[in-house]
Amino acid sequence: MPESSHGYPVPSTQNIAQRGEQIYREKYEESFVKIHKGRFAAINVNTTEATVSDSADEAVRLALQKDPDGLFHLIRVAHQAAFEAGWFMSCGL
Amino acid sequence: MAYKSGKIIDGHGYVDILVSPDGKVPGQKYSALVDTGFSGFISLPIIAATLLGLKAHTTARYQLANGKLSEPVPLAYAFGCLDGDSFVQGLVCLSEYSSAVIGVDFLQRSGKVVFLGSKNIGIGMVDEADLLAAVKAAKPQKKV
Repeated sequence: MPESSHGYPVPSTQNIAQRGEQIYREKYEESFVKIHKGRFAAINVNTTEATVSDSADEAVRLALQKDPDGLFHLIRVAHQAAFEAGWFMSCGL
Repeated sequence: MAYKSGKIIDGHGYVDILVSPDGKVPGQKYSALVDTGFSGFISLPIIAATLLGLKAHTTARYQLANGKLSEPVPLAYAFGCLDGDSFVQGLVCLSEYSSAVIGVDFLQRSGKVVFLGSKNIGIGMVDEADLLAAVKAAKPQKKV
């Protein structure tokens, strides 16, 4: 398995997402739903740090500024997922 | 008013877009499906994103139209625009879909309004600012 610049093996997309969701549930969800409803949180799966912003783009940009080699999972606070898909994407084109 | 026309294929609207990894190189042209139910910027097939050299650093899920969640997808920064326009930056989803897709975030960042019309008009886009100016300038006709 290839290694990241942190020296850790590079995880799969599934691993990053699951780790990010676990960190969010355990560390941030309870407080974020009260103060950041509808905002986006980029969870750094290596450091467990969360970066919150009004847009997905900005949350990831700020998170990358803090850790340019970081791997992140994007959450929309109090939503099922970060993005919504239309019928086209839902049907798998 | 600058008008970009697209085409309707099997009932779905497509427009030509350019995607660039850094906003400097001319960019690769794709025929992208316009999906106003998609809240993101651009979705590109993984193979297209790989050929462009996009570097994924983030993952995310979609909520599908049936309420279920998608498998996580990788995200990468890239620049996109309608063919002939200036690039804007956004988060591109690298997906398993066979077609490029543009969503509401693309329209907002580009400042575009989508027109869907009869088969003679098809699909098109204009600058939101131009449209608002045209509407404002149009004088209501007096009833005789």
